[in-house]
Amino acid sequence: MSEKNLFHKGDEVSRRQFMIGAAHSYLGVSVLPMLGATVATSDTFGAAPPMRPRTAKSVIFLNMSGGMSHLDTFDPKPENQDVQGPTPVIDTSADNVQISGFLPKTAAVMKHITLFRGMRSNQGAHEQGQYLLHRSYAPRGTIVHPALGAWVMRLSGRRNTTIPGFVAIGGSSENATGGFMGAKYGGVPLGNANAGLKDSKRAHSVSKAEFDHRLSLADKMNSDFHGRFKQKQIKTYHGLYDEAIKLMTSEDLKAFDIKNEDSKVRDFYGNNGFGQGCLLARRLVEHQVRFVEVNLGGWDTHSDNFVSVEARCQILDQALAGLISDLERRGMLDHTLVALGTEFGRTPDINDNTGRDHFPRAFSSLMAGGGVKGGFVYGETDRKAHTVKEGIVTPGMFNATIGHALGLPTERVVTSPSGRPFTIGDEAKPVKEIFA
Amino acid sequence: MVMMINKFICPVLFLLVATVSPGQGVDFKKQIAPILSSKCNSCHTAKKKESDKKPKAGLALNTSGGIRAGRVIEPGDASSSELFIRVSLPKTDEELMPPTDDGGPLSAKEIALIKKWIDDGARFGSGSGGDIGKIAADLDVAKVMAMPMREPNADAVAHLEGLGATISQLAVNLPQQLVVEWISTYHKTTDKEIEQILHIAPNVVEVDLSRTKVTDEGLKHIGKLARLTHLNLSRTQITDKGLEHLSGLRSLQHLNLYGTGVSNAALPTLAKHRKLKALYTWQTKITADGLSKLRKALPDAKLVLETDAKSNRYDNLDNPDNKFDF
Repeated sequence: MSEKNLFHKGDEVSRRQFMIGAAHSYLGVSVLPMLGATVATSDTFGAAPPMRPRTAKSVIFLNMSGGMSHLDTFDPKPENQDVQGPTPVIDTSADNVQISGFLPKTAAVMKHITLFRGMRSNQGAHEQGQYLLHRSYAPRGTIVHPALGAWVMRLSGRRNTTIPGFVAIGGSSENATGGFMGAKYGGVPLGNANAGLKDSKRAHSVSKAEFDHRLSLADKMNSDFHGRFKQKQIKTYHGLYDEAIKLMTSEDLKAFDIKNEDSKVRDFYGNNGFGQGCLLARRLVEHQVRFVEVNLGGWDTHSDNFVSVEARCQILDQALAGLISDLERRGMLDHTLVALGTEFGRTPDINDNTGRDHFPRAFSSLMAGGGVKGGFVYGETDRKAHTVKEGIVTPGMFNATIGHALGLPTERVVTSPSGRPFTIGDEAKPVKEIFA
Repeated sequence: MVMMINKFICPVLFLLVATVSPGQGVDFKKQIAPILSSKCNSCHTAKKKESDKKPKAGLALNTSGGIRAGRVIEPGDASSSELFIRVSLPKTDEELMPPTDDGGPLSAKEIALIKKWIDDGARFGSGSGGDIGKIAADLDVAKVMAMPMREPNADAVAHLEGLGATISQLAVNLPQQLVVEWISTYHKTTDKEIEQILHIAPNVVEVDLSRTKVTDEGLKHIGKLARLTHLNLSRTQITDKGLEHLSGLRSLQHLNLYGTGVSNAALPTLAKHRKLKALYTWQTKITADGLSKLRKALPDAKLVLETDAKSNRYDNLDNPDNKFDF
C-alpha cells in the first residue's frame, strides 16, 4: 500500500521528474515527449460540437514579455505628439492601417494580419500579467492553472504522435506548464532554438545492444510493477518509455535541428534567438506540432523607451514578417495561426526618464493566418491611447479565440482534481468577427 | 501484502485466458458494440438534436466516430488505451468505469474482449481482419462523385492507418468528411500506399502528400477523389504531366505545388480548376509572367509565387529601405 500512496501524494511535477530521472538512469535518455496521445483525453467529443471546420491546425504564439508599448508598435497616435513622442508612423499594405515606423517589414505583411487594439488586462505586474496572458486566470495560491498549450493538448491531442505536441522556446518554463492537468499535457521547454532537442539520442556510451538490454530489464521491472498496481497513472508512465523510444528513432527529430536550414533562410528570420526560435517554430509546425510558443523579452522600457523599443522592434520586425512570409510562400499560413501577445501595454504619458510604465488598461496584440481576416483592426483606443473605446479583448477572450480557430470546444469545462470547473478562456467568448 | 495482491490478480488472469481464445478475431459490431450499448451508452451518447442531453465527459461511445474523436483507444495497445484502463481498474478505484453504482464493473469476459479488440488494432468493422474488398479497376472521378457520402468504412480507415496515414475528421460533427495526411511516414510513402486511399474515395476532402514519394503516376489515384478541396503536393517529384491527372477535380480550392518541378506548361491545366482559391508555386519553374496569364482565368484566386515581393512590389524583406508602392 505504501507505494501506491506515494504516487497519489506526489504532485504531477515531482512524478514527472521522478520518471525523467528513472528513464535517464536506466535508458540514457533525458528528454521525454509529453503524453498527449497515449493518455487519452476523455472529453474531446462535443458538448456542443463546433459547427464549422477548424481554420487552423497549429498555433505559433509569440510572447512579448515585459509589456510591449502599444503606441510605439501597433497603435500609434501621430496626431498627438505628446503621447507619441519621437516614434515615426508609417502606412502599411492594408488600407487605412498605420503602425510604428519601427516595423517596416511588418507593415508590408499587414494585409495578412488582424490587429487587436482593444486589449485590456486587470494585472499590472509582470508575473501576474504573464500568468493571466498564458492561462486566462489570475494566479491563486491554491491551484496552478494550465498554460494555453496544455489546454490545446487536452482538448485536441497531438497531430503527430511521435514528437511533442507542445513546445515552448525561450522564456520561462512556466509558460509550458500543464498546471492541474498534469505534466502529460505540459510542453517541452527549449532554452535556445539553436540547441535543438537535447539528449534525445542514445548516449554514445550506450550501445544499441546495451540499450535494448536495459530496456528489456526495465520492461521486466515494469511488468511486475504494473501487475501489482493497476493504476491509471502508473500505466501512463509506461507510455513515457515507449514515447521516448519512438522519438529517439523518429524521422521527425530532424525538425528540431535548424542547422539543416539554408543560411539564407536563417537570415530571413534574423540571426538572433527570437528569429531562430520563429524558424524552429515553422519547422515544428511543418512536422505537425500543434502549439509552439516563442519568447521575446526586453519590453520593460521604464527608461529610454524609444531607443529600447526601436531595438526590440528590429528583432521582432524581421522575425514576424519573415515568419508570416515564409509560412505564406510554403502554403502554410492558411492553416497556421500566428498570435502575438503581451502582458500589458505602456503608459501613453512619457515619464521623466523618457520611459513608459506598465499600462494594462489598453494595449495591442495581433493574429495572422489560420483563417483570420487580413488587414483588419478589431478594437480602438481613444485619441491618446489611454483607454479602450470599443472592442475590449481580455486575455481570456484572446485565448478563447485561438481555441476557436483550432475548432476546439471553448465552452468545455475541465474539472481540476480539487473539483473546480475551468474553461480555456475563463468562460470568455471567442472574438468571431476576426475570422474571414 | 504480495500474497494479498496475488489473490486478487490470479482469478482475473485466469478469466482472461479462459474466455477469449487468441486465434479468433473480435467482431466490433457483434461483440463490442453490445457491451458499449448496454453498459456505457446511457451516459456516453452523442447528441442527435439540440434538446438531447450532452454526452458525459463529452465522450460519445455510440458511434465509431465518437470513439475515435474521444481518443480513448490506442489501436494495438490496450494497456495505453483509456477505454481499457478505465474499465479494468480495481473495484475500489474511483476512476473505474462504469461506476459501481451504475452497472460497473464489466464482467471479466467483457473486459477481455475489449482488450483483445484493442490489441488486435481496434477495427470497427468485422473481426475478420478487415475485408475491405478490392478497388474497382474502372473507378473514376465520375463514379466517385456519384457515390453517396456516408460514414466511411471503418475497416478501410484502419487499413490506411496501418499504412502510415493519419486520418481525421474535418470537424467533430462531420464524420463523413475526412482529412488524410502522411505525417511521420512521408519518407516511405509511395504510390502503392497512396492508391489505397481509394477505399475511402467518396469521403476524402483534404490530402497532404508533402514530401512523400508520390509520382505523376500516383496522381492518377488522387485524380479520382471527386470531393477533394485541399491538396498539398509540396516538395514532391511530381511534374506538369502529373497535374493532368487532376483535371477532373472540380471542387479543388487549395493546391500547394511549392518545391516541385511544375512549370508554366502546366498553367492551361491549372486554369481548368475554376474553384481554385489559392495556388502555391514558390520554388517551382512557374514564373511571374506565367502567373499573370493564369490570373485572367482565375481572377479571384490567390496566386503565391514568392513572398509578396514580386507581385506587389513592396515586400522586399532583405532591404527594408525600399520604398513601398501601394
